[in-house]
Amino acid sequence: MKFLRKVRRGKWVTHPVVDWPEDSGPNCDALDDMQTEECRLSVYATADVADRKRVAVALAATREEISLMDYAVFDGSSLKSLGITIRQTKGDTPDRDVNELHYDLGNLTVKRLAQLTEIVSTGEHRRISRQDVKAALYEAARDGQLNMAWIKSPKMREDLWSNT
Amino acid sequence: MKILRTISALDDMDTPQSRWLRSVGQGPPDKAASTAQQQKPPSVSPSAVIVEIDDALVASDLRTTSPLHLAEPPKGQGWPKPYTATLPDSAAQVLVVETMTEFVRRWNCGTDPPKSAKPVSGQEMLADVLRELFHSANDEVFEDGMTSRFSDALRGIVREHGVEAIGPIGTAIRAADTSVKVAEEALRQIGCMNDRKTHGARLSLLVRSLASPDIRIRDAASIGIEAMEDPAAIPALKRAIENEPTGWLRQYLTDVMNQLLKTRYEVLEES
Repeated sequence: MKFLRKVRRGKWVTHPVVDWPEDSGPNCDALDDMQTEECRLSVYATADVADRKRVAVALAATREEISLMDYAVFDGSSLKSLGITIRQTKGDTPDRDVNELHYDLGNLTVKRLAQLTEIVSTGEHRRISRQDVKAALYEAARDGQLNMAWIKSPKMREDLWSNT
Repeated sequence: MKILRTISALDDMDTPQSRWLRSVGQGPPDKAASTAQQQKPPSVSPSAVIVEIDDALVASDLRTTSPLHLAEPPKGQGWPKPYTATLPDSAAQVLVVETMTEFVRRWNCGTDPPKSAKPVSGQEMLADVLRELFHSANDEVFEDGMTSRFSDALRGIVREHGVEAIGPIGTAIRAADTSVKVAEEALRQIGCMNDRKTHGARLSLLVRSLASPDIRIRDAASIGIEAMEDPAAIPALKRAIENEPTGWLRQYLTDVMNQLLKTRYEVLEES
């Protein structure tokens, strides 16, 4: 199973101030994108590119303003052997279908989180430009893919209402 | 050498992490009190705790010539147990603060800033405000498309001071003591804000930042430029694409330039 995690792409580049050994993983600033809650990390399962786009758009709709979307897609096949649990829970986006794709990666210790961060770093990192996010959000709102009542930010809701 | 580190808010949860953080926050051995406190979690906990200060060099950026005077933590606050911090030239002190800014303020408590012989200009004051703003933003976590204390304050400064604010903001971004994280966020916000009066100055700052040696700064500048949707950035983007060594950023810069070329074409068509 593949998972998608929202990131900030610039955090995953090699940090110029670190003395970088050749076999090292990502720089530790990447941990900013791995914020856990109660030892769990929120991710979305994605089977294909269409899923990825839909999840990315749903996540973009949870924001206060339209902005570009950086994400990483990584392979979850080795997680169980690391002791990381995979539990399906309901997501919190305005897209009902996307909410069904939500998982919590749990039982995370500092060591496991570091291992997970390495896995995420070797995944596929992608960026959707702000312009494309905007177009996709308007389309999703028009097609009823997004439940407008579930959009928390008044600014985002107003923007989507006025452009669909 | 012992290290100073602020730790985050601890709530009443009983997790291995919270137990570990509590044990760190408990301070020197006072086993009876420590056990009692662990059994009775606090109803109110501070959002940050200075765990230990044993070497002022560790906190060199907070050093002051004024005598250290720290207020007592609020009475009746069962936890964290006040920690005895040993400083090289002072008696043991205790400090519990809500934020790092408060820590700095209380560190300097009791002494006003030195009065300058010459009057301070508006630009100097603005530079001071920005320095403080950029410094205090180190504690924040930024997320794309979400406002923060830092972004609200920065946008407010631009709205209030207009074009005059952009130069000092550029200086603050380039300052050696500004973290890349904050500089990056400032550039993103510079591009995302909607303010016609400062449009040209903001775009110019972003374009200049495309030449930064740090990829994160170049990335943030390109994100800001995309948000501004101004075809005037096309020549600068062309140069940046030619010079960009990192593949994915070169691709993004190309995408942004293509969008702007399309925008320019549409504008020409309409006119």
